Amino acid sequence: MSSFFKKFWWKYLCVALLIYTTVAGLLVSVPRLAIVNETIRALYFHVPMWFGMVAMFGFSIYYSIEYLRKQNSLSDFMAVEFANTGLLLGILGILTGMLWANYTWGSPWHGDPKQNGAAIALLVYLAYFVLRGSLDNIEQRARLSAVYNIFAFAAMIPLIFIIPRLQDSMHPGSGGNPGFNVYDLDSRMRLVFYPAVIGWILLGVWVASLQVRTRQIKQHLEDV
Amino acid sequence: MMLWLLKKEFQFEWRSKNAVQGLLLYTLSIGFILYSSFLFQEHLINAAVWSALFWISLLFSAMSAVVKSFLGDRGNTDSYYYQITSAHHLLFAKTFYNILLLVVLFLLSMVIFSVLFGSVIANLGLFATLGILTCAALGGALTLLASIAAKVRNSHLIMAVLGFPVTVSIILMAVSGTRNCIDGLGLDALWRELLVLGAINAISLAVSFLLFPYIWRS
Repeated sequence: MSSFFKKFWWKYLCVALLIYTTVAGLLVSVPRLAIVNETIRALYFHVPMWFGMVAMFGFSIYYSIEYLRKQNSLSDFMAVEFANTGLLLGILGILTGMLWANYTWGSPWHGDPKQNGAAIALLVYLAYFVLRGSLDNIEQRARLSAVYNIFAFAAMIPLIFIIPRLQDSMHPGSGGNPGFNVYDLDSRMRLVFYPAVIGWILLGVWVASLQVRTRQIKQHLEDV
Repeated sequence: MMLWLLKKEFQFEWRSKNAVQGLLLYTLSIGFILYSSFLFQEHLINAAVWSALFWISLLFSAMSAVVKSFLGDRGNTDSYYYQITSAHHLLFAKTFYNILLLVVLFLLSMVIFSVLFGSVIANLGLFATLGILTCAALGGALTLLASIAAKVRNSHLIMAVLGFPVTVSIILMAVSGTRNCIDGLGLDALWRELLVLGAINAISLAVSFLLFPYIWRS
């Protein structure tokens, strides 16, 4: 992936997609639904945060596995910076969700299973950074945090994929509430939503790539 | 080999009895603190409150019980084990020992809660099954985390920080299952919780099996 980092085309693509998302997301007409009304536009800005977060955490797990197999510092940098970026997107996802919930549900924190699941997912990655902070030996820090990253992800599978399906939720797309598939008739939303998801994921990769390269430069300066 | 290691765990525990005694006292104290804080307000304790109090107190005892399994003042026994046994044998011996310890704590908490808050569980057989599955899931997840925490300076703090988010799904299942046990519901209301707990057990054991050699190597 580090050769991919140095290419330019996807950065132009990212900028173009996000400009398109912002303009079209605010201006193109959307379906009228009761209660939700214009807040349906949160789909373009709130939901891509979660797609981005899951993608970043996925990359982070991948590089943690790579680290355990090859023990190179680049994989460790990748794992930690993708986790960092995922955490940032997750916090933005929670904040945009709270903003939306304030207008449609009446209060920012509603104790919804999806909100709680998201908050716990963020706790896991905050714990990951606390663990890293309390280990001094660089090699040990990289290895133990990689192990925790993989283990915590596995432990969260039931929390994210099984338990929310056992409980009722007011969140769109669950508990009988209209979700994305209900708008199938209206493909205009998809024309903005999919580019938005790709754009935000690319932005996340871009942020992580800059952080990884900063870490590499710092390490290089320390070695010199 | 595994049985030999398991026997060693019991012997170590038996020789320094103060650790077990401390743990029993810890569980008793939590129970009594909870009882005192609800004194003369017993009508507030419904099924939901009972099960939440029970499992949260057990979670705290479990954390303190498991965190010491890789710490200990055993000097160089770690490097001795490293030479004579494989990582997987050691992991399974420790995990199995911790699960047994948690089951003992579960039974003790059960007795304490029955005495202090009254025995409210209508379906004891199902509750025991749920309890053993939960103890196995907690033991499996916490043993691996204890082996990570043992390498860190503030082991007890790190154990709590790493452990709580990972055990949330286990505790949620146990709490909602216990509510159903108190209400006297049967297996048809509880099979989902048992199934999820079984799945968590399988996942955490499999992932620990794959990951433990990397922790053990340092």
